[in-house]
Amino acid sequence: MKNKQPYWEMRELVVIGVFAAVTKVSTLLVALVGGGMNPLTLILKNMLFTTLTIVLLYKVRKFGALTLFLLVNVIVSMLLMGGGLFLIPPMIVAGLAAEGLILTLGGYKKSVNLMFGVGSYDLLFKIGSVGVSWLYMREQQEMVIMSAIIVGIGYIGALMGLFTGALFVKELRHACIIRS
Amino acid sequence: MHVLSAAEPPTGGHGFVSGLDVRTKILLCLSMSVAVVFLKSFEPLAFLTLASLVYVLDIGRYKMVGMCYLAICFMWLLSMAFMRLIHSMSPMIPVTEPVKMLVPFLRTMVMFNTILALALSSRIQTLLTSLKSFRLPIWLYIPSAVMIRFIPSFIKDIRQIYETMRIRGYSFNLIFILRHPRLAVRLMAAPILFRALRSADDLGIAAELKGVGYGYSTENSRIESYTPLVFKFNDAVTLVAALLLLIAAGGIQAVWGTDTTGMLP
Amino acid sequence: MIELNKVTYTYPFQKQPAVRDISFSVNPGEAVLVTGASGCGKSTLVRLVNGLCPHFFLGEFEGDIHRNGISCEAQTLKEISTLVGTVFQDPELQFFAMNVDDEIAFAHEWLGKSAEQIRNIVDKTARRLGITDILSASIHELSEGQKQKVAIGGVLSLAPSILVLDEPSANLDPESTRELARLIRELKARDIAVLVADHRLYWLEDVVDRVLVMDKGTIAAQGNFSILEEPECKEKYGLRSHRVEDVRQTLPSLPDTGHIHVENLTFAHKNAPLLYENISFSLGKGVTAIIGDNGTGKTTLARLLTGLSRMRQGKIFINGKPVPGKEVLKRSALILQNTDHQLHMNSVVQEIAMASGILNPGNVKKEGLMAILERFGLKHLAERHPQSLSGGEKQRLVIACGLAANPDIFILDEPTSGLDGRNMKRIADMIQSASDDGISVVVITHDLELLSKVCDAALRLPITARPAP
Repeated sequence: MKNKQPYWEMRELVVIGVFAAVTKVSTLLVALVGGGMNPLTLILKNMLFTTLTIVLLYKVRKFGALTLFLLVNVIVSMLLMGGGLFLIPPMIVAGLAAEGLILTLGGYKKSVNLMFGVGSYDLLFKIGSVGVSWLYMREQQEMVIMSAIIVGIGYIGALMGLFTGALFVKELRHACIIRS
Repeated sequence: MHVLSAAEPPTGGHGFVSGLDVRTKILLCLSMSVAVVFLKSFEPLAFLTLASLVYVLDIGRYKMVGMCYLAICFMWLLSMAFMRLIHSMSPMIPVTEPVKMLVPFLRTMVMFNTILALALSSRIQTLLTSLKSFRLPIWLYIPSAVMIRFIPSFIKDIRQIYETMRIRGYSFNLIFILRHPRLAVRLMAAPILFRALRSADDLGIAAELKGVGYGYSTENSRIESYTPLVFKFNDAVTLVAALLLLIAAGGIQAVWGTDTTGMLP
Repeated sequence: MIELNKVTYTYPFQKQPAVRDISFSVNPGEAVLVTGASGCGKSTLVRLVNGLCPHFFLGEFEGDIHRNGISCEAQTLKEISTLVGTVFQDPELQFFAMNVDDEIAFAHEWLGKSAEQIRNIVDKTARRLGITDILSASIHELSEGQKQKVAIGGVLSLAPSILVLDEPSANLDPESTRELARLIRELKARDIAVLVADHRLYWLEDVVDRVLVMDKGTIAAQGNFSILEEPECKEKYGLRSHRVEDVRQTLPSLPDTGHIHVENLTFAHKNAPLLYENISFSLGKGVTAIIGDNGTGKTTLARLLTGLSRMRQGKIFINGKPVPGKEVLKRSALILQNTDHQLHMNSVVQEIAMASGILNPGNVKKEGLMAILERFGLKHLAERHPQSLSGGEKQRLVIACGLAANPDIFILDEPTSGLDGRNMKRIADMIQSASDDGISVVVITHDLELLSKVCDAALRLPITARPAP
């Protein structure tokens, strides 16, 4: 029996894995060096994450790439650090919604579509993560407010990352590292 | 974090926790992170915090655990100060008692103890082996394995990139970031981005040339380790003990649990 | 066996073919060397043999390739992978696992073999390559030579009939290179067809049966190893020397006094025994080679000399004046092996500007920067993206960046690995010119050709304690 063509090519899976590693390491190191609650650190690490996500989606232009990238990230985080179980549902929902938006806007070929998609993912997921923090801190609304502020600061970084991501995509095309 | 290091042996010694299967430790982390959501009183959470503290102290990294606890205490004090600030701005919001305010922090400590034990006593290649034992489909296994495989490499790369900046005379500190934000982002993101793209291309090619995923989309699309991890007696004891502790915590909650304040429905 | 018949191949988005009208064969038990200057089409030839072109890279393909008598039209990349094994220049980039035994077992685990079968294969492969003692080691702990063996082991465990080695000696020391030559001879005796693509030639004299010299996408010359002995062949095609003198033992020792003086250096890595204890030495204004086996601390010494690592005890004097650690960092430059890590900007001119200490290149007159680029033969590349340059161009750029800061000590770690004869000579000229300008240049290299070309003295590790003069 002849194999049917699989949806994911091996090279795409490898790219997703490599980008998951690089986002995890770079954001973790920024947090370790700058301190987790430092506003500048929060902005920088979110900006890095979003920048790298935009480039990944430009490299693997396929429905599901963002969701698989997020799923891999959370699975490995669970293995490495044992947490994040409750983040999976909002992450998957936000990822699929964002990819649906990218498809609706016309697909993965245009940077602007990726910016809208990843921007909406960040927003939806961050709302979801405030919900998760409510689960753990529900008794003290002050702390939920504090966590919402922290998430909000992070989102500023994510928004900046959309533009740096698009700039890097442009540069990678100029360097002929990624083809249009 | 030790779990991110591939080259060094575990520093957690040869204690009981270090000898446990990595899957047992992951399961403990996950079950605790779920359990603490359902526990809402100081008493059961304090009970679990103490039990999990014994678990993490078995690793023998007392200084590290102490430092982390100090950081959590600092956060607790900070949040109390923040709460008082909010109260002074809006007197309608009541000031919570310090002990009751501990509840969310106890949740954090329970999770933190189990996570720290996992991180300090496991090697990253053991995690890679444990990943195989989950029998994930290829489309999930390959990126997950690649991610774990590349974490130590990228840590090394980032260290080298940082050193290159030092050699060029740029100290990557707060003042530098604020004075040259565009350059800082570029220095931070560009080399690692190019490195990631090249690594991905090379490894993608290697995967094709090794015939990885041969039979992908047919029956042979899962990987099985030739040196499978085996659950031992100690793992069973630990899991049963954890279950009993969770039942006990539930019992404490039901019998002695006190009301909590705030937005609890 | 592998047979290429009138093969022409063009990459996607390219107008010119990368290789044209290529015909040759490698028979079982035969080893063939492919060499030529950078961009000659050598890598494309390797990709044609292992099927990456056109199966992975797509593009336009004409002609025919037969592997073990089967035409390429009838083969998929997965089928080709069972016949052809490939080992890259940097083997670590092809590792999927983190342990040596897991890496050898990896492909077999995918093939669904039983645990018992895989254990036998791993043991047999390890014995065959003499790596049983490192089977449980992490890939990050291995020397380059050991990594190479593990990569070859992983490939050979799949029992291919054709083996392709792409730049196999680029990162190896001379001893590991000799080991590799012995291994290739052994593979030939087992009737495996071996194709070696390499710039370094000297180690292959008694290994290969035939040589193909490529130029501009075609086979420009072929014959036995003796064709490389002709000086015009070397000159015309930008090749390295076919025979190299090993000067590691004959290079003069360090002078008693010099431009840079290190006194009573003591250093140990964290939780490790002392690496250097109370040693003193001087570096002259020429080019000094740091020579030593793996693990003797060559790179560590370079880091100490540039102030990147802090000495536990000791002092560095430049021109007779003691210089504190932070100041040493400002007065030195270190070129690391991986050029990609050292390129940050989006054009060559900006890279030079940044290396010269200019943080806003847009506000600076370009003339000064262009003069620096001209000095290093990079002016025509000024607006190019650094990541789009060839290996040799990138190396020249990072060296130019290092020299742009006018250092007193200039250290280069393996500056010519993977470079052809022409680029190696250019780098050697840059090093020589820096030394002529009065900079103390230190080179860490396994490249015997570079050592004999530019080095005036050797700092041999491990150094035993010597009182300061």
